[in-house]
Amino acid sequence: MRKRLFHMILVVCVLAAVLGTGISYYRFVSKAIYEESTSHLLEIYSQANRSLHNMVERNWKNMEECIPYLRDIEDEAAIESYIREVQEKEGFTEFYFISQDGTYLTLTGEKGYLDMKKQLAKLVVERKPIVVNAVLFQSPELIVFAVPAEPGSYRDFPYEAIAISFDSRNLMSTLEISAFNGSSRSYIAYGDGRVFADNAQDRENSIYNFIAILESKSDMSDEKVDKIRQDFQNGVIGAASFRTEKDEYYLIYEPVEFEDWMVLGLVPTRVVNASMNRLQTVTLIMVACIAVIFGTALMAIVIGKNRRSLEKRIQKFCIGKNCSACCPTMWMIFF
Amino acid sequence: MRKRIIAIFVVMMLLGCLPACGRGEHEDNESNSITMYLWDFSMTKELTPWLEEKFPDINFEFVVGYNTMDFYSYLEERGELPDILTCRRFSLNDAAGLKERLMDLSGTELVGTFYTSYIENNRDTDNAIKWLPMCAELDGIIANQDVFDAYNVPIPTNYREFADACRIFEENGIGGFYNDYAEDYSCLEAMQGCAIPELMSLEGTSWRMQYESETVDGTTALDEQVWPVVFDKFEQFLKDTYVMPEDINRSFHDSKALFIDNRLAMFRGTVSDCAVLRMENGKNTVILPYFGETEDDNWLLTYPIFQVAVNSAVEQDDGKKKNIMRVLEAMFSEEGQRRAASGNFVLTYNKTVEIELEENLTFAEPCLEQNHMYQRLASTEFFAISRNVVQNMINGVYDADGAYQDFNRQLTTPKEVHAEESAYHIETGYAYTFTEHGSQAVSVVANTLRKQTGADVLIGYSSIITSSIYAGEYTEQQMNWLMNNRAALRQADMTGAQIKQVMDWLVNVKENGANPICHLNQIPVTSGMEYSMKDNGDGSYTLEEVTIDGNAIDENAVYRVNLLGNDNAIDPELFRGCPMPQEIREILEDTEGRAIDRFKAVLSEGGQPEAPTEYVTIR
Repeated sequence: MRKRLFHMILVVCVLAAVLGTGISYYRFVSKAIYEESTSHLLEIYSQANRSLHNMVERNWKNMEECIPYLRDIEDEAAIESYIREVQEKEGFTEFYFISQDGTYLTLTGEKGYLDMKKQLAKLVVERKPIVVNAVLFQSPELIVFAVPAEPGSYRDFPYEAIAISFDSRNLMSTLEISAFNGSSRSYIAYGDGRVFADNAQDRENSIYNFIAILESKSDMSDEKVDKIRQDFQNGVIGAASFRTEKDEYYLIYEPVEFEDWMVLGLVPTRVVNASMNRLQTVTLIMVACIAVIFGTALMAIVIGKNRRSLEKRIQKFCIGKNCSACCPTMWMIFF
Repeated sequence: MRKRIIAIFVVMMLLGCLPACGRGEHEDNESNSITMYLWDFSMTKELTPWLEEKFPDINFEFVVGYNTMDFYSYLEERGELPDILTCRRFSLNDAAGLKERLMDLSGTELVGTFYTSYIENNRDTDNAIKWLPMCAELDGIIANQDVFDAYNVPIPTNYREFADACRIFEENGIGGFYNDYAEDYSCLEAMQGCAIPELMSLEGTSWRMQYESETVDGTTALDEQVWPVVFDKFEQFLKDTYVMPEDINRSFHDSKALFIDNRLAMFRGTVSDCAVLRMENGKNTVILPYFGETEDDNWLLTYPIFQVAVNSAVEQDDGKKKNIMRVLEAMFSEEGQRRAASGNFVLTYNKTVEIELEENLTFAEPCLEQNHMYQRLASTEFFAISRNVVQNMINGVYDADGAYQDFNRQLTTPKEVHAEESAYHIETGYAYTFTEHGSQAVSVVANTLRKQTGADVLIGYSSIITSSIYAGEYTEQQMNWLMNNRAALRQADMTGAQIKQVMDWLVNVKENGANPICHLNQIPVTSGMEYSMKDNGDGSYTLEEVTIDGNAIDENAVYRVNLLGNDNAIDPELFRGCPMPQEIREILEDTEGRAIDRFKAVLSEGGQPEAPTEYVTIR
């Protein structure tokens, strides 16, 4: 009876050890996969972020270079051709000459009002470059980069600054992420989580405030959301994973080092981990097999040892007695 | 013995559970009940019925209140700030007093749907966003194209052509352009409208930002460079539009009547007014901008049709907060905005909404394309001072320079902060809350008015008051806020049969499907008689009995009847589409004074409001 109990405990211990090892291994591997994946994603998005940053820098430089050109060249056709060339290269939506009151004139002669609010004074009075969001009738939201220029005139329109605009799609083209077969989504957001540019094809599933979405639609705890909120506000790089009703995702965020912009990447974990998950499963199966073989062998050794010890005791017990009848019964006790 | 102990234990457990069950149900009801105050009854045209239909799980209480922040401050003082607030007259200065009691919506997904450049206008100094702008109303000049064609006058494209058109019409005995200078908003809009390029100059916008960020008691003066030009231009505008002193009493309806009669070519109005004239009156109308020197200087004047805020108290109830966010998201969806603007909106503040231009905006299209949309400066003090100064200009009290000086003086005079004197006292308070026998507070007002007028019966079209009746002191203004300001009090001698006809008009669904009752808390109120009606379960009701002191009304007897209500909320096709029976309309006479003045008269004479009665039974 005690032997049977001993063997049962042995079996349970072996199974528990196998299970425990499996779980620990799974946790270890999952953590390793998470760290590996997020580090890989951070690398990808850092690259995209650098492209965005360079694009912004390049456009400031282009506009600065444009100013002396506008001053020196009087031929309006030449100015137009020069700007078109830069536009072709950089992909901005429109070029504007800006007057002192915020009225703009495009290269094609279209006039309108660009509502820059207090930034207008910064541009034309303080003579500092600005970036503003603007809306023109029936057009997507524009991001306008403007720099002060020497007062001049184009098509009899007096201007004091020049500007270029991007709509969100143009801006996102600099963040084109070629990995993940288009399964990833990229965003540019303000420090408070409001998204102002994304590469989403379907508007219906657009996200307008990332932090609000994490709060309301994900399994993320309040503490984790607060941490991300703080990271956004302080411009800190970070990664996280969360689950929604639809899927499980990796979130990568990184400051652009321009205004309070953040670049965000969202990729389903199954896409990022596809190969690593396969490796993890194969490894787990192999470890399980090894553990089972090892466990079985161990049990066989113990049982064999016990059997031999029992045989010895039976032999001792049978010396001088007629054991032919009792021995089978004794074996049956063991098994 | 053992069984008995178990039985006692089970009973005790059940009894213990009962209060918890009740509490759960109560909490659920509380989470599903939303009180929403409406800045104007026009919100009941399409938006509120649509919300009720869209959210059958929510019990809405829609109350038509007043279009001013002071009204909400008053409700807040009385501890009855509604869950959702709406107001058209808005400036951050005016809203500052309420901001501690409103929810910060800045971190919500909903705020993310707004264009940054628009929503930033509503950001407080502490970065919070408490008010969200609904789509924009466009204000300009409504022109009757048929009148222009009849007199062979081209539709103007700049200020000179506009002035010429006015002259030609006046020479032909036709009104060129009228404005309802009796209203403060019309004075404000006309004055700002005729000098928008100046107001949108660098100096103009810089001054405005400085003015709008001042504190409530601020004394920012008018800009010396911008505003003298504004008054000069407005003075010229008054001359060019042949404004006479009697025009200070002109109402919108005066102008509209002349316009419909083809005796007026243009008047100030909104895109919505323009659409109504097209749809209801068959006029060939178009919207023109406020004209500048050239076509490039033309601008439209805009403002959000209303702003929406949420009481911060709802944050203590997660269920309620979720429900309110659902309602807000619906209101700011494309469908919600179309309902809010009754289909006539041309400018949205949200990225999620797309708009197609309407036919009557052909002449305003260049302004829209050039983004020439000026958001009116609309602080409470600007409304009040604009009317005072503009009317003085029209009366010849002073010229442009005098107007500038006086406006500046009024604007910079430090506002005296003192508690208004208490003018009335009410001893017993009554709740607005609506039950199956009506609202106690509404009944108190109806009973008091009937007693004051000496009528046998009083019938109010809907909930005629704006809040509970509070026990305590009231200032003059607070008492004025008690009743809906559009409710007119009229009287007639009616037979019992005619009274039943009135009740049939106010309760029963019409043959064409028109339903006079848009929300349960707006069913008719009666005094001196009671009625019962059946809830048909689909938002409609059927009148059953009309009784006096429990007996069926005598159809042949004649009663002195007061009718109290706003015909415009029920008659027009665009609202309930239930016109008053002609026979009743013909016998109605106006009464002297407003209903609230009669209510106040009772209190002034030392009286107290009458006790409430159960005026309705809903089966």
